[in-house]
Amino acid sequence: MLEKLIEILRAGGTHRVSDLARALDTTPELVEMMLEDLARAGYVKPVAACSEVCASCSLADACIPAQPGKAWSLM
Amino acid sequence: MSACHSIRETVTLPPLQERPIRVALAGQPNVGKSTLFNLLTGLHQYVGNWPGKTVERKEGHFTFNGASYRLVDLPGTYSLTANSPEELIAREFILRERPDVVVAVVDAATLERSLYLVAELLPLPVPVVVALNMMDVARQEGIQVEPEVLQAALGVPVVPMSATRGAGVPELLETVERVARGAFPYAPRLPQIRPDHREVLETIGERIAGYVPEPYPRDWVALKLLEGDVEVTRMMRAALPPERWEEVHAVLRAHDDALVAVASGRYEWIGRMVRAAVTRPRVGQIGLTERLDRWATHPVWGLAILAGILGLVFWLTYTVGAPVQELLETYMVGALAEAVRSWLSGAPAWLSGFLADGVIGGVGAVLTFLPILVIFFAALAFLEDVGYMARAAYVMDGLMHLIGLHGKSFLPLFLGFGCNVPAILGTRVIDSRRARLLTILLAPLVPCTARMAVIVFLAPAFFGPAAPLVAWGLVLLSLGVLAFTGIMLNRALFRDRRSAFIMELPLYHLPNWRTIGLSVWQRSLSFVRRAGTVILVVSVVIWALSTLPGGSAEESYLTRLGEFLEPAGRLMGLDWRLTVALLSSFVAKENSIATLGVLFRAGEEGLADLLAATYPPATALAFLVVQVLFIPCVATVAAIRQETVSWRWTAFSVGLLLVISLLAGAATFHATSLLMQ
Repeated sequence: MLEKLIEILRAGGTHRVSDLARALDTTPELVEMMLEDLARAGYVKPVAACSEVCASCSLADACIPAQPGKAWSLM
Repeated sequence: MSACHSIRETVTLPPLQERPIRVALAGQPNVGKSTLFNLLTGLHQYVGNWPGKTVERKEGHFTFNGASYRLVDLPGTYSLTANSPEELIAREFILRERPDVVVAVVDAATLERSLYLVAELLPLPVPVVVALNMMDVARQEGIQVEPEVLQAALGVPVVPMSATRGAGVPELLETVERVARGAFPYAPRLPQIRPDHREVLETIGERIAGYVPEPYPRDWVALKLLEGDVEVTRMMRAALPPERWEEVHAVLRAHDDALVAVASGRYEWIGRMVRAAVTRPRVGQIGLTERLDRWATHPVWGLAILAGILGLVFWLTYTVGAPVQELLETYMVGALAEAVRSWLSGAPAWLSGFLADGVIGGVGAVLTFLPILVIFFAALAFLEDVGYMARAAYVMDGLMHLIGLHGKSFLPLFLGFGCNVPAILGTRVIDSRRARLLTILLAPLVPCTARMAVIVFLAPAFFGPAAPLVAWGLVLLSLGVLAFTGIMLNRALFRDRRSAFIMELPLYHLPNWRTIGLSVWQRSLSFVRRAGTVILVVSVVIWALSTLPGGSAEESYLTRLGEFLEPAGRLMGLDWRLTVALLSSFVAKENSIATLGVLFRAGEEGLADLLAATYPPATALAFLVVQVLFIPCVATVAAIRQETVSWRWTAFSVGLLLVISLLAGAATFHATSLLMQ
């Protein structure tokens, strides 16, 4: 199951957790767990939260979009 | 294994009839493990620390049905790898102390997460009883878990319960006693490693046979070695003769992807268990989110909905905000400027000009559109809070891929709607240098709030009731130019490399008015601060330049500069005042309005009316087009220099935007003039 997930991610594109769950015939919760596992193993990495990037910005307060959900990208 | 030796060596115990039944409670945090522990032990509990650790150890005793029990509450863990001291303590306790039974407390509402730990507990040489806790919570959420089916699938006893209500606890203890006394046919179905790695696992098992220290089971150690478990690897390196370790190490090196194979086996196993025993609701909030997302995240309809929502936001902003802005302009700025003039009638003319035209005309003009911005900020905060913004991100990311852009580019570009500076800094999430550069070059084409503020103010001044349509068109124009520039630059700079991006979209939910209020307050405050600092300084400088040296605007330095630049402005139908306003926006975008306020001496008469009376629609539209596409503010340019570490690329970015904006402005002016004839 994990290999199939890696295969889908390596093919590229943007995915929603729910779409991945459907493709793997499992639940979004399990996909999230697998992504966390893949992040620990260094296959994917969580996208830096807005707060980290904006820490040094004086306009951070006025910044419109907060982090739009949790996101990962392929290493 | 440092942790294990410090806990206690394995001890030989008397038969079960002569001593209490020893039970360990295992489970992830927040599954009700502590509730169950307190319920069972009551006041008969002792709290200390695990030897050599700062992790709390809770132990207690109780009797039930004539049998006495000793209960140890293991630290809450999600798995039994060597990732944390808690995980090491839990597994070492089970392996060394060998309790009679391990009760795995699992959350029926989030069974997947809980079952990962069970998948790791089952291969250990201690029987496991699954306490299926929070059945009431699962039922409330519409999740149906069938304990009998789960028991058949797992091959170990499963007892449904609800620790907070005390339901199912006697049944749990009866099962624990039966299992401890061997009265339950215990035959767990273990997760299997992927078939192509089974042989490797056997090879490692054979190589380490006879060398595995007590009390570790050989198969478990072989599996942990394959997983790359740091503690087990360290232990076996010390236990094996050097040449044997080299053999094992060579096998492990040749299968460094085994971690995925082992974990994959566990996930397959969890998937099977959940499919067998859990039925989830297809209605309610989850169903609603899915139904809405079928449209909101559709590649075509999703974009249409996004465009529609943006249009609605502008319409709302103008319909509600514009009348308030007009009132403020007339009764606050106008009246204040008039009052200052009459109050300073005896003072030098420069002083009343400085205050009425420079300060009030500039900063006042900018501050009047605060109500419009508050509505705009509130609309965006609302969309963010109900969960729509994540969908906007998702559909836009799909579009990025269609135009050949890097998937990771989306997040930073999305930040650009707030301010281009964090967008440029945010490109740090992109690994590829070329992709990052491309994103930095495109980021200034995302209309930031300051640019939107200028549009929000000027569009109704020029176009009256058609303002929402014009503003909406301008945003779509800049996004269209962004896409087109992206495709062009992508062909020249950046070959498409596959990249994946996974987003977790939150459920739609009712808005939290406090969060929205706080967000609007912070953004408005930041805007007012800028009006009081950067915009004030620029207003005063513009006023000084438009007054000096002789006191008449016609002979001022600014007029001379404007006249010098006018030929360039004329290509787009702009006079010297609009050209100077555009230039001053380099310091901060809102300065365009402040500058026009000063140049039109808009103290007592409304700036909006003056502008509408002065400029024809072709000029007005061309000015707005140039304004949205023009070179970004100085802070953004500084960020570009900082992030590209190159003056060449910074100059390229400024040059590119200058060319794009001037061409677009000229095209708009001439096309509109032709159409109006």
